[in-house]
Amino acid sequence: MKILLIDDSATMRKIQRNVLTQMGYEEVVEAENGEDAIHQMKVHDFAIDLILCDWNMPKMNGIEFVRKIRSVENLKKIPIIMVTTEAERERIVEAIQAGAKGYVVKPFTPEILKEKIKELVG
Amino acid sequence: MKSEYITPFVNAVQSTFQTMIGIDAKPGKPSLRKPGEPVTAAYQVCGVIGMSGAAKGRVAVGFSGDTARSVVASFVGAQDPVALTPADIADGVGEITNMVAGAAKAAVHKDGQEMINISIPNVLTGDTLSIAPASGHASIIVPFETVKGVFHLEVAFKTE
Repeated sequence: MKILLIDDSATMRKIQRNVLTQMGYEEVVEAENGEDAIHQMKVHDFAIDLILCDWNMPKMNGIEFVRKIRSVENLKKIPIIMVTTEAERERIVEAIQAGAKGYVVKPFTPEILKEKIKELVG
Repeated sequence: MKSEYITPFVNAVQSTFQTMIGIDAKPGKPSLRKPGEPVTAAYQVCGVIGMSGAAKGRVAVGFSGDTARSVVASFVGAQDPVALTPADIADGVGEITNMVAGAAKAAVHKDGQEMINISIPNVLTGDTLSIAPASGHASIIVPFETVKGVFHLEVAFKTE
């Protein structure tokens, strides 16, 4: 299981990586924004099983990244969980309509993130 | 600035510290700094986020260097706080400020409409930082007591 973790904050990447490690997921690829994430996906031959994605990031934000990925036929099935401070209902609807499969609002407990990951990838 | 607008920010600070760091942040007595009054609070690490939309201003979370290090160490689960670099601490304070502003933004509504948009956080570091609000903006300053030390929330905005 290879997981792509996208957040412009190194702190948030570290916190989420800690949660993934606790769950036994050691193969984690990190990216600082949507552009970097696409680059990392190419480097890893698009062999990504799950994506955790922030919303507000420089260069390419999270929702732009989700739309970009969902526009590519063979990447449509990779589950994406948005992990963001954007808590309004309209934002959640927008993300789901764009193709996100899960939504976690910051601040979150490790249990909430674990639960959402388990829902999508067991 | 109406005092009712500070409540979502205070709640957001408490929620962020309890959820992400696992510690209580107990708010103290708020103080009001009117436009033009001298700035007295001083910090060494301060996260600042601008707000736009129907409410314009900024939210800031200011720490002493020791408190910032201790809080960020707990935030990221670092075993040794001394090993954190200044960049680690600045990034952590930025993310805490981001969560506070984001949670408050979601809670601040008027007639069912969102009132504010928020910027990406900036973090200032220095020996005695003080945050002056924009011209015409009053600030509400709330001290918070935690087991990691005291820090301050400063909120300044005016509504249209």
